[in-house]
Amino acid sequence: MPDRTDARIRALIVELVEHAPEAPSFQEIEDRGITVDQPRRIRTLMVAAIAVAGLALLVGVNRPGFRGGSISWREDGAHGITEEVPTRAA
Amino acid sequence: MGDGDADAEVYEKCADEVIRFATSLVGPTDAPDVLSVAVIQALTSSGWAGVSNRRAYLYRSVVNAARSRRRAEARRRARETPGAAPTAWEPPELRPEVLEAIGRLSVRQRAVVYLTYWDDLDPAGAAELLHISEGSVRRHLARARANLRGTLRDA
Repeated sequence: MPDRTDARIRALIVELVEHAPEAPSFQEIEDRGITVDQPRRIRTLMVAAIAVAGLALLVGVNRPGFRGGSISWREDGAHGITEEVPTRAA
Repeated sequence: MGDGDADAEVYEKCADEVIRFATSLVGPTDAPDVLSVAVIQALTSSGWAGVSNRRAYLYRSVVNAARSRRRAEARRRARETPGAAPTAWEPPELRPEVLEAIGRLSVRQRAVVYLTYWDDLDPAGAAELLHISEGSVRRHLARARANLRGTLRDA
């Protein structure tokens, strides 16, 4: 590759970089970080709340006695969950 | 964020060089913004505490922030004016030829060109800083040179 191209590219970069602005101070960046972090924290909390609610719903649905979103209620009084008490063998 | 004093010290040490680097990637107007985003992302990342070369980590974070910015701009352009050609940055006094030439390069190509021509790094040095392979650096540089050669010849 001819050296002239290299020289031109170097001149191009120098011209661009010479227009570099002053770097923001660390304090400015930190202040900005706080305002950026805030919505992120709220978003994280919301996701966590939705996850907990979803889990609670799943656990509730899978409990015995819960069928299709309603609990059956029979007239003969045999409603609810019947527990079998283990009996000791004689 | 992390350990404030130590982080501030790391940043202050290399602030001038990373703002120049950011300028080469996104232009003077957007450079402070991209640098701020990059520093925030670096300092809030889970791996920051264990990073041995924090200067290199900041460079990579600047590249990532610049790429995100470029993608976001492309999406916004496509939404607002579909089919429109990419517009150059809007720096105050730069010659349009400079902007046009650099604007034709990808962010990675700009990074490699900057490190090669401004920092005088060889491909191994640039590869270490950007955490990519030496072969990738050579490929990016070759494409950038070919691209710029054509643009500079036209200019």
